[in-house]
Amino acid sequence: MNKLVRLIGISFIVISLLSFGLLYVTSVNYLNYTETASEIPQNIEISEVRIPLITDESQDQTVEVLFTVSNPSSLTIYVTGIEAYIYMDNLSDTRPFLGKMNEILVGIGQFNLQKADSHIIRPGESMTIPVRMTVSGGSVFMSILNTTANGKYYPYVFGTLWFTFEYIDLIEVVRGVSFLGSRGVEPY
Amino acid sequence: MEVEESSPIELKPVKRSYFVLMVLGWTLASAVIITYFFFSTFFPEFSPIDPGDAGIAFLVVPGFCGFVTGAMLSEFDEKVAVYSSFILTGMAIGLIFVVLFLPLITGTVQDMTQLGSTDQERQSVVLSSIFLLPISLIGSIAGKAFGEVYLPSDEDRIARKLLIKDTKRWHDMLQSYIREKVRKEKEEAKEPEEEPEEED
Repeated sequence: MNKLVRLIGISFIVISLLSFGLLYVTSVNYLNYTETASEIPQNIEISEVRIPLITDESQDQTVEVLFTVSNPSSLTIYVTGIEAYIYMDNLSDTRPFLGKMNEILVGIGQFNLQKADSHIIRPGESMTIPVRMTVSGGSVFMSILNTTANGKYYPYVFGTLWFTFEYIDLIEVVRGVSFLGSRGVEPY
Repeated sequence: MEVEESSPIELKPVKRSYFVLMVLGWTLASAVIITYFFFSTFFPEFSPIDPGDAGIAFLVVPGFCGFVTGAMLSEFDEKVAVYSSFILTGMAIGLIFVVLFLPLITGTVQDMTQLGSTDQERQSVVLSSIFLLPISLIGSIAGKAFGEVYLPSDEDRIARKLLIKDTKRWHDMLQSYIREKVRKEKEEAKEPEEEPEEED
């Protein structure tokens, strides 16, 4: 084997080993991403909906929806945005939810953050993220919000959550995170 | 002129295990490079470095890898260059599929729909991987031709030098033989002319 062949051969093997290393990292990232993207949606829940006791409908009120996100995967995730559609059920209206949803919508609580400012959840950690929505006093939405039965609110919340990853610039969307308050929520 | 009875180089027949090892080694090294560039072009967000333009993965890398494989295997027959490009493409496609379905293979997810790649992306990968064969084949044949001309082994080079030397020697011998023959023919042609003079 002459020197030039040896040089080309060694260089090619070095390139191949380098490519193998990069392929390994790429595969691990792909594997971790797949794992995280498939596990996170099952680990998001709306743990609580906090609605104040409304004594004066002319004053602004803030509704707080608490999203609890657990990260059982091996990648750190960054929650960059949450959107929550808040409905208040009127038990006297016996129609199914889909039939009355436009009339019982209170409003949308949401936030959108840059990755640097987002909520960071490391592997094995859980975090409760509040989403707040202010309902203007004296508005029609305030009267929808202030609908109680037996001293309890019966809210429905449907949330969408956006998250991204530490080293992977992909944004995942989890839709259909729901809170069905059929047992009622005590005002605070 | 001194004639060398024995050549300093003994051209041994290539061992089968050496041949197989060489073919598998170089094709595997090429397949790994192609797989990395191919996969990271479709999924650049998972790669630690920017793989660059798609043309690099689809055209330049398979052509380059085929070329180097062909050059490295240039000591073997021409058909080895062709077969090696087939093996190289097969290995690369196999590796691409393994990486693509790695979450399913490792049991991280149980369903195709949970994979980190969409159906459309996977279809694109499969369709594009078909084009690896012609490009690596062209590269391999070009590499074989290049290797034969510019990268002969030391043994081949010495054997070629000896062959050139032998050919030159045979050429010289032939030249002197022809010259001798011509000279004899001329002499023979002159002799009959002289004979009648003696008779007279």
